[in-house]
Amino acid sequence: MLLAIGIIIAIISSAAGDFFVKQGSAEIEAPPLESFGGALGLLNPRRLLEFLRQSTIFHWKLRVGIALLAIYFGSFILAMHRAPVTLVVPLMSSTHIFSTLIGKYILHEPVTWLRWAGVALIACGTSLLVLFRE
Amino acid sequence: MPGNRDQSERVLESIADEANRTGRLPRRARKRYMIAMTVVGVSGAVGNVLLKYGLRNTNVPPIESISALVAAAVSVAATPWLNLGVILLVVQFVALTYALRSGPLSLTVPIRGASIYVLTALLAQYFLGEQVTSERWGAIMLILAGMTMIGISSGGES
Repeated sequence: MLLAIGIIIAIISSAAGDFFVKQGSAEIEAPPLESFGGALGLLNPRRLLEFLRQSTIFHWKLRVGIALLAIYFGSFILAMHRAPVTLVVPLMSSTHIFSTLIGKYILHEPVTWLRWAGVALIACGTSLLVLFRE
Repeated sequence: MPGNRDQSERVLESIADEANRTGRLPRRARKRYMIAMTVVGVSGAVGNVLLKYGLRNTNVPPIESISALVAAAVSVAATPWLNLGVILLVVQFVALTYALRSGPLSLTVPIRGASIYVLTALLAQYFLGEQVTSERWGAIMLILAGMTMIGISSGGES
């Protein structure tokens, strides 16, 4: 039971983490390097800190995404501790199912029938893995 | 050499453009792509197996509270094989981003899936003694077919 919850948390947080990192990284903006004495000027830790503070590298979406990916990795390790690798690793492919759903219903991206067919095959494969898990 | 660096940056960009536009592997990037994907497959599979190998010899205490979670994280982080596994998974990720810049996504997703899932299963069978039943192999093949279709369907985008 605990294992099942761990794997589900890993799958969902991986898909959601990728989504937030992708969204967040599209919004990163950095101030011009010239005002910090060029790239070499960033070797000075104080200037580097100021540069990072003025850039949007710590955009909240990125922070949420990185936190979710950390949760993913923690639960992945816990799942690996209790279950065989040959079960946990292929099960992680169900992130494709969730990222397709995120793409379709949150980002409103067009999803082709070929992609839905791929998602259906992955769903069949993961169900088979769960049914014959012993 | 800022000039040289700009130039190689531009070459990489034009390769990535060509790969995404045509959905094929640009001829001039073939060798680089094959090396990157070999690194992806080998480091991903060996990383997964080392992770499991390290965890098998670790006593993770039962997790009942937040402090137990911290204790579990510390005992896990102190396992050398596991750390090597994590390093290999990071290597896999870096090689993957490199491969994505020199080849199309529609090729990269299925190759990555095939090499990591199949190689992980084979290595787990031989080095960890895990039983991979024919049902499990069948499930892995279904998942690979699904990933290939998803990869082909994302051909045009980056």
